[in-house]
Amino acid sequence: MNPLARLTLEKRDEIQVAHITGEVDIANAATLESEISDTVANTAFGLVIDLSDTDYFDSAGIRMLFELRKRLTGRRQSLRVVVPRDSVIITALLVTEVDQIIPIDQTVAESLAAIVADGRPEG
Amino acid sequence: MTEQSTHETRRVLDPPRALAFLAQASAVLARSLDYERTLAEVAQLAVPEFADWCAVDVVQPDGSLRQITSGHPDPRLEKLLAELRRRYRAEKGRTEGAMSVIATGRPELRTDVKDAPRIAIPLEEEHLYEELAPRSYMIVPLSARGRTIGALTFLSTIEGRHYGEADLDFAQHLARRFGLAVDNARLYQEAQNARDRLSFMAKASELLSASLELDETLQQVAMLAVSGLADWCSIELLDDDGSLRNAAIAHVDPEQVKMAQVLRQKYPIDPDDPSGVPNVVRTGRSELYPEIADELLVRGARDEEHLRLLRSVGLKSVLIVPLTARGRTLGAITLVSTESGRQYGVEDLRFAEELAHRAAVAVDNSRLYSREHNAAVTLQQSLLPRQLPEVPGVEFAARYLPATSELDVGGDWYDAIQLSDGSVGVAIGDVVGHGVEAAAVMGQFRNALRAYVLDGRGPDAAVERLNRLTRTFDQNDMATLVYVVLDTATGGFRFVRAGHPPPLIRDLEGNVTQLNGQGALPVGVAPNVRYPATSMKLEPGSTLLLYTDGLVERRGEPLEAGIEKLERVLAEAPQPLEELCDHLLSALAAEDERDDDIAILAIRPIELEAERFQATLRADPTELSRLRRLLMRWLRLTQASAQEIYDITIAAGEACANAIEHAYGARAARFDVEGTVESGFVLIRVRDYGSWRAPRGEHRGRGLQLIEALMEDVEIERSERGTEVRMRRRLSALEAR
Repeated sequence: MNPLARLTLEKRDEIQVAHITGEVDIANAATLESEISDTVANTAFGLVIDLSDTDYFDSAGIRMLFELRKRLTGRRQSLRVVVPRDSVIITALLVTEVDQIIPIDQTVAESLAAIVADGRPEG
Repeated sequence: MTEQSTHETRRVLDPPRALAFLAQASAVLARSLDYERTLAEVAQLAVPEFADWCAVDVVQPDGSLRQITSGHPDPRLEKLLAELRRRYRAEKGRTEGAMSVIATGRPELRTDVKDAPRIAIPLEEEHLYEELAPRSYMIVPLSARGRTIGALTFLSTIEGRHYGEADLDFAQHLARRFGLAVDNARLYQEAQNARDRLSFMAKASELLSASLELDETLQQVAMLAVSGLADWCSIELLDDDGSLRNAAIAHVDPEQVKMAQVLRQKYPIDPDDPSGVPNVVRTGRSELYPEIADELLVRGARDEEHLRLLRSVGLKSVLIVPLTARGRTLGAITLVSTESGRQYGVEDLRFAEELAHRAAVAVDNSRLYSREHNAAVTLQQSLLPRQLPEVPGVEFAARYLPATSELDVGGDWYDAIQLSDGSVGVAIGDVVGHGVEAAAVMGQFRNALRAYVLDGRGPDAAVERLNRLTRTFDQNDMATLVYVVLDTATGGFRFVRAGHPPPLIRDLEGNVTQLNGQGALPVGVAPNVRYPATSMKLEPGSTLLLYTDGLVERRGEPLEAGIEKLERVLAEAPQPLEELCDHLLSALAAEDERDDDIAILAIRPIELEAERFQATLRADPTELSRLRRLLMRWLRLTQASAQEIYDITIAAGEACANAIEHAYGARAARFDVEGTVESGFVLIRVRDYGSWRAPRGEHRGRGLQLIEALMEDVEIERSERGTEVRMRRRLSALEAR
């Protein structure tokens, strides 16, 4: 457990959800990345990273998202990120055009629905 | 013959006067069992009616003679008399004098001194002898219970007063009564002495066991010695380097202590002296000088001045006994008799040896303890943080004073721990117990708590865990503690108090508040204790003071009174944190005698000014969260909006992350962050002293991208000496004005 940020993992149907509470910076991004990556089973449909309760998310966090995406794409698994519109961290994600590559949703439910709608990777 | 018969018929006392004298003497003898006083009074009684000078000699258990005289009105003549008698005793084969009377039990009558064989006296004292003008003397044995226990000497110096047989009869009659009284008094005195000695020894034992502070103990032993055993007592200790050190000195007359000290200082003991203290220390064998003759002084004196001093001291009798413990001689005790005229005998020697033995054991123990005391202090200090962490926005100051006495050291600790979420954990504690063991247990407590909090546990969970751990320790180790987790950005803190005195907060106005919180039992007392945390806030500039009971505990005073006193002292302490700590210690900690350790830890969130922000940070990724907290605290003062605060913080954080990367590999590298507000803009400068690295990898340029997107103007200046990033952002609130 890393006290700068707390990671809570849950599985909804075949989708892995990772809630990150707290702050993400270069001190903990790599650890979080490997912790999250390890929990995503090969059989999972996808991964939702919930940043609703994340207070700080800088380029290290953004890099973490891209690394995870690269990894999941190789397994044809989806990655979606949840950031409410009123969150202070949204600006940083928008100005670095994260949303152009990784879909950003308002809620976890939205993300889950979107992944299900995409269907199983192999049809 | 005719002359002799004339003498026979002569008598100094006629029967009625003799009877009256006898009655008086009997009254004196009956009155007191005080042996010395009885002797003196009887000797006095004979003068001037029956004699001009009278001496009582009593054989001591060790065979020496105890002499009491009536005294001569002329001190010079008294001295001469003493000298004459000494010579008599010293001359071998003499058949005259008290010694031979005692040896044979037969009286000696010298009707006319002119008939007696003269003892050789120095020419210069001849005139004194003329002045003394001895005419006649008699010496009769003092006997009691079939033993000769001494002798009575009567001397007549009056022209024409010569003792005759009748006087001798009377003297013998007197001596018989006297002998019995003296013997009784002596038996009583011996019993009394035995009791006195027992109580003296009991008192000495008590003193020796009460304190382990070496020199203090020895000084008390010396004081005790002059209260009944000597007029002057000096104690020398053998130091590690083989030299002799005066550890204590006492004189029955406090005025004379100085003189005794001067003597010891001016004429320090010569370690090669074949006799005296060095010899006693070398051989471990006592030396007894029942009488100090002037020759001995002359022989012992180093120079004229020394001789003069020695003579002025008026030495009568000296006893030197070794301080021997566990087979080693550690020093010696010197007992000197002066004014009291006491003459040391074998019995005194045995007694002094016993006293010295006990003192030596105490000295040895004290040395062992002081070694252990030092070990505990060293261990204690090695277990305390060598330095407190540098936390941006927070000031720390700490003090630790070990207990001065014996084994009281050990067990107090304080700690400050940077937590990875940017907050700071501070702890203060006190392990129950003292000495090396307590210091070691303290180390366990400190590290265990550290491990638990670094593991991410909050104060309540960490202390609960520590309590569970303590229950698994071998002994019944216990500790009181306060543990605080302070959010350096907001000043909010949570604390747990486990049986420890309450922390105090002093605000900027000088008001002091006790933080009792939800107190709980000390750690290690009972299993499954809950340690609830209490939330509070510490304003910038306010001081949080943690301390151990050594600072507030006074013997015979309730703890609350000590805490109240601390509150008063804290209220008026200077604001600079280091000075504040010094002030507390100088007001509350005794300098010379502390029964307990004192530890204090003061914490203060620094006051930020809206105009300017400055922080120096270690080039370490974990510093970033701390910087963000501090920077956000400052940005709130600048009227920046929540989004502006966040954006500026991210931009600054990115610049700092670069600075940390530039310092890669350089240990202890630092970088500076500065913030100012100028004409509606917040300006941030981040300066490092490392070497510029171009962004690596496909994502590494994103930091700079973020900075440029979030800030309005960004300048980057790279040089051999490092990199400086300057950036600014307009604040909407200021723009609107």
